[in-house]
Amino acid sequence: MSKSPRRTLKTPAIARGAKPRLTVDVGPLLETFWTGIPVFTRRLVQALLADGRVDLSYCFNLTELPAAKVHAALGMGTGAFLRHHYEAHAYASYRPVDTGAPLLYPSNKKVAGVSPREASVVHDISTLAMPENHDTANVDHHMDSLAQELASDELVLCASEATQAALITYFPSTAAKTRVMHQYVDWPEGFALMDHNLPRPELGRYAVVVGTIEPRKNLSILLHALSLPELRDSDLKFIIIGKVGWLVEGFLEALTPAQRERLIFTGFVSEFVKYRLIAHAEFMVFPSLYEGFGIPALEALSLGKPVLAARTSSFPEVIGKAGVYFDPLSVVEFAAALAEIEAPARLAELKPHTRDQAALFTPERMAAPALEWMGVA
Amino acid sequence: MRDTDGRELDKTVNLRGHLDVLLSSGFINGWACDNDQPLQPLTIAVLSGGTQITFAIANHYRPDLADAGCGTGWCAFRGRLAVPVSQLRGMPLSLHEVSTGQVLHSVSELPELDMPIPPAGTVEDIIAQDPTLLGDIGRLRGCGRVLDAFIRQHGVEEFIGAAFLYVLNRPVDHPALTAYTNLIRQGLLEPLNMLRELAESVECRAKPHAMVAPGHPSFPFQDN
Amino acid sequence: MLFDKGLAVSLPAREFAHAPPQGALWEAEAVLRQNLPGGLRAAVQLLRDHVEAAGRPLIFILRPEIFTHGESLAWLNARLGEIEDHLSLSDGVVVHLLPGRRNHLFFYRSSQAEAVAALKRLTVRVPELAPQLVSQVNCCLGFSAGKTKYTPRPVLLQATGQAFAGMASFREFYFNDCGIEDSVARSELAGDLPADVLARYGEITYIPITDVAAADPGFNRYLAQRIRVALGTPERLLLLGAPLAAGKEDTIPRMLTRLLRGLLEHGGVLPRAVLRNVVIATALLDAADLPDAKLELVVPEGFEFWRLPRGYYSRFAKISVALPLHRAVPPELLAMLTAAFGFSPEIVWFDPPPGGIRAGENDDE
Repeated sequence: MSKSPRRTLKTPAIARGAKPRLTVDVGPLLETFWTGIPVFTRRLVQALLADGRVDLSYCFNLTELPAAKVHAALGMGTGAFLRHHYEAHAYASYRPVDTGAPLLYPSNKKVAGVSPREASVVHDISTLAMPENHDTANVDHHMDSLAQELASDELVLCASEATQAALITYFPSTAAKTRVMHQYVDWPEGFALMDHNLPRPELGRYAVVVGTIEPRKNLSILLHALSLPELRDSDLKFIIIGKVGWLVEGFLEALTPAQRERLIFTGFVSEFVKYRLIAHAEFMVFPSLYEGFGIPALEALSLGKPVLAARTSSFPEVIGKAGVYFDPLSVVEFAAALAEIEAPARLAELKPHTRDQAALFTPERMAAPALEWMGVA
Repeated sequence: MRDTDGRELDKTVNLRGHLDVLLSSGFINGWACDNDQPLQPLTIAVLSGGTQITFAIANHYRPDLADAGCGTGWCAFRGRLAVPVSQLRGMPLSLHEVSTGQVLHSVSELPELDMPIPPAGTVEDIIAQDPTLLGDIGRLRGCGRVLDAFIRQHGVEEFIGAAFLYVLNRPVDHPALTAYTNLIRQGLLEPLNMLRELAESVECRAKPHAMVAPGHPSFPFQDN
Repeated sequence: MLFDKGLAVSLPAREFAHAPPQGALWEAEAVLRQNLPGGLRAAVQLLRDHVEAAGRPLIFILRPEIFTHGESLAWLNARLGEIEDHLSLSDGVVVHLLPGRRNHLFFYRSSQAEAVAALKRLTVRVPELAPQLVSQVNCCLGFSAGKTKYTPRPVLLQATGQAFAGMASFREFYFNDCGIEDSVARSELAGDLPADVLARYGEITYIPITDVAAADPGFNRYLAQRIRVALGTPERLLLLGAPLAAGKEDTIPRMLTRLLRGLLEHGGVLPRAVLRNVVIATALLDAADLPDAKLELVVPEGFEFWRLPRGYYSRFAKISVALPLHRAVPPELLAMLTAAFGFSPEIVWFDPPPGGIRAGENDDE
């Protein structure tokens, strides 16, 4: 990480007893299905609400959103109805955002310099570092405004130390004004009890693999490994959770039927089914080349499951001692690491670290850099 | 009567429940619901002689409960017993709602059924057992009163908009809004049947998506 | 020196999408066993030849971006040992920087218009990138960072023994001003000219056209004028190198189309007849292809001069660099070219087309 001195963030003079105002652009929450950035946004807002020391208001595209509707969306876990209300009622009853209040964007900004104090979150710089894994429109959309966005931010929040380090490498001028904003895991209350009362899964030995079949997620390393002699005799299956994207061409065809039987693709599953599959796995496999944070790893840790992870980007900082790491570009290293983590003695060594590591990531920790910026930390 | 936070309880709180049967495989079946808030699943505890033998969330679907008007029908539970079932034979048991401690049902003894509960042997089994998803649209058959209450509170058009988002995952188009509004206002179409129609439509069959169960926080027809 | 203690080289990930999963760190020979486009292969061979000849370690890195910090960066650092210099072998789309090391750039696709545009776009989007580059290999690009301009120190690494050229074949030049497709089709039908076609001429002017130049309206006007001059000197051969593509596979029809399209759009009038003393070469000429004749070389913008050894250039009596009028030629660029050619080239300025449309703003070679 850069050794540049951290800049003390400017804080406004706050009337005694008054809470400082903060507006959060909750645009990501207007999605119907929340994954990735919408979930990050939800967690951030809920962490700030739980803290209670800032007066939160919400906006989307410089339009103020009714707090009650945003809170209802948070409770429901979908933005479909919030979006519907915005589209149906904006003309009659919405008003422009108060640009006087500090403005925080949980993702990249569409426009810069609206408020005198702005902050945005950089989740990762994969559009810069590995643009071939994104479609051109996405790269253009993100990269065309990035420099201006960073220049106009008083505070740049990074989803991980890895993102922070990578950002500072390419934009050294941001070093003093970046802070890390780690998110946390919050399984719905009741999942553990519901799982306890359902028939136990008996799927044989398995590891869960999270992520779609796209190049950045590097599932091909697993497929390569299955054809290695040392893995052929194992009875460990791999349950791949998530919507099936585009298939890795030719790899599945290259496997024998016995090898293919060891891969189970679930397609879309509910959050509860995902919980159950992770909770009853031996461990999680996360071979991604690059992640901004890697929330699935934290989900596994929170359920007491070690993670077999690529030694890349944010994984070591998220997983800590609760995982085994490998070079994501080496099938030999992957196979050796898989053999290591499969060993019962090694799993027993790793398990005690899992929940402790997960416990480091809390709502308070997530809210802290925003609260520091607001002068209440 | 006071709740767990010490607040005075309204004695007319409409909590109902029933212990049905012990399963020799180590579970207890029953149901519990709050007919005033049928979309809020209850967390229950079963006690035997003051000892808690199971906790559960009453959010499973049973068609007989839907037909009997017990909440929305999504109020059954199956709790894993903390003690061997043999210890509970011939013993009195009581069903409690956890947040208030209210006793919903007491029995001097509970019949036992020799019914093995097979494990979930496939991912499909695990998916099928998921109580957070609706599965078949017919499982909303106990939700008529909930839908009526939503309409009373928010209006027909709001209901139709929510129905389209829930079933078809898109905003309602103006012609459909007009047509369905007229049908429902004139009593020619029940809200529940409108949901069935949408679910059985060509559009829905072409692009199915998973709908959440009535007890899920995302279920749109909440009375708030 | 660029690699006093060895060199770590980042590879362009796009070209290794189907590489076998043998790890993030590669030796030169393992890289060269992959199916690489010509320019990248030449660049890797060049680095191998220079660094290993100096007895220094050379390590290629696939996906350097995954080693961001902390444990992953420590893993990489442990394997790079004493190597202090990192070279980003860039396709123009991505330039890698390794924290904690001196970073250098080798833009190996300077001949490709879309690569040049991509690099320009990148340095505009990430204005703090270029100032972190200590040097640039075989280029003399200037980068704007706000009001300041920054030119990383140019470093020449040139082919030594072998030329990184291809197996050239020769085609007749026929220009149908009503449609390129007919020109190309007739060329295909006619097939290759005899291999000794060059030997029939005592004077040859060789212009290896780059994709950048082929896209430049001003260069096309210049080229067309050269072709018209050739009409009056039938004893002299004008040899045009068809612009190569960046990808692994190119076809002669595509190359011919690129060359002829520029002439059609910007060149003005050319005869619709086979010009006997104008010939198209389908690859960069190897030294063995050069006949015993009076040779002149005209080098356009983006020409990858480093692929040919100095001995190759010594075969030419005259070397000119064709540039748009008003294009600045920094002394460092001239010095680099002089070192590469073995003597100072002549700069030939061509006019921009009417309207002042010129190719790119970068002064480069």
